[in-house]
Amino acid sequence: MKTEEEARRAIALYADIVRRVCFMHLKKYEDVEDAFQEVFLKYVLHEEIFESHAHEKAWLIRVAINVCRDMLKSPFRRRVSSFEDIDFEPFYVQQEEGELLRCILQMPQKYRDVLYLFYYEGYSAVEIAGIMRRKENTVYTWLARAKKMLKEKLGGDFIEP
Amino acid sequence: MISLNREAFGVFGKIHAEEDLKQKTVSYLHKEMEKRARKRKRRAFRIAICCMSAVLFTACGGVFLGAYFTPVAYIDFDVNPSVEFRVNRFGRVIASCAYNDDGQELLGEINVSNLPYDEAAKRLLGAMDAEGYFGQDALLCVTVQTKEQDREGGMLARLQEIVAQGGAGGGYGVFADIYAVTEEVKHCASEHQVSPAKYLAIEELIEVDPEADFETCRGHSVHEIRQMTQEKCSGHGEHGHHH
Repeated sequence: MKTEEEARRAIALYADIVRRVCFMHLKKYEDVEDAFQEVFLKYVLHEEIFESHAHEKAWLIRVAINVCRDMLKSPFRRRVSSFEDIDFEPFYVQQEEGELLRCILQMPQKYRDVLYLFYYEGYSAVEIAGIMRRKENTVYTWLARAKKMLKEKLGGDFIEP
Repeated sequence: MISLNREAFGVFGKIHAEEDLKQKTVSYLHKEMEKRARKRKRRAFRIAICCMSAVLFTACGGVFLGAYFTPVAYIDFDVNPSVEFRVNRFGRVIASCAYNDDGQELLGEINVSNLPYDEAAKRLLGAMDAEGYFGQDALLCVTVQTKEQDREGGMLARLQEIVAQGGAGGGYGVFADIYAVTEEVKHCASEHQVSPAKYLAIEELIEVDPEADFETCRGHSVHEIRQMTQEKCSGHGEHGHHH
């Protein structure tokens, strides 16, 4: 078990990343809070020593994705609410920027994850495959499908670099 | 127009973990870590208790087994089948052995292991009776050797009762000599591989007939040895004892 000091350091360094992953999966703030705390509890209980900050960050992202998925899979939560039923958090979805975000959030989870990790966090397909425990080709396929979906949703407003 | 690049995803940068969320998480982790530390202590305490119990149990078991399998009294029966019972502090027969083939044969017919000594004695005497060893001139010698005075008295009284009430309740119809012997007599008898009663009888014979020895007398019954002694004492049988 890690020390409280280590836990504080990890929260200071990775809170925003974990919060973004939670935001991408969960809509209710209580759920976000639960998932956020669960992720850092797992971090505290994790005995393995991380090789680097990059390793630590990738581990936290993977755990955050898994915690959120488990939360959504929970029969109780399924009965109570579904992602699509709840409006997006208004703060993050404003003006033009909000359009892309809204489109991403309406996509299936796996596409949301790959788009976020690829475009925002800057991970390569190989690294994403490692984080998501998938084959590299699967990640490429998901990326291609996600982009296609975005294109369809955004119509002419979409430019691929 | 939206260009699909990192800038377009810059909106994610606006998402930050709220200070309140961070604080709540720190408090939550603090509580959880304390809870787990307490659990670990409790578990360690439980393991320590279990280990101590196991050690105590093993030690008690060892002491009990040691006590159970340590003989504190010896009962020897001699008619001429000659048999010894080793009795533990709980009054149970933990071992039995025979000094001669007849005795061995009798022990082969009955099982006396872990029986109370009085029950074992009844079985042995019953078997002796059934085999016809309690003939007209038979002499049954029963000796008890123990360092404990109370136990000795109790065992002698009980054995006398068994012999008196044996058979169909009216006794076995055999002359019986039931008495206690010292540890030294028992030790010497064991060294000569005879029952204490036979040892004492042979010793008496040797006193009046220096030519007699354990080797030649071992095969005779106590009754026969005593007869030889009497013959020697009364002047008959100057030509030595029977072989």
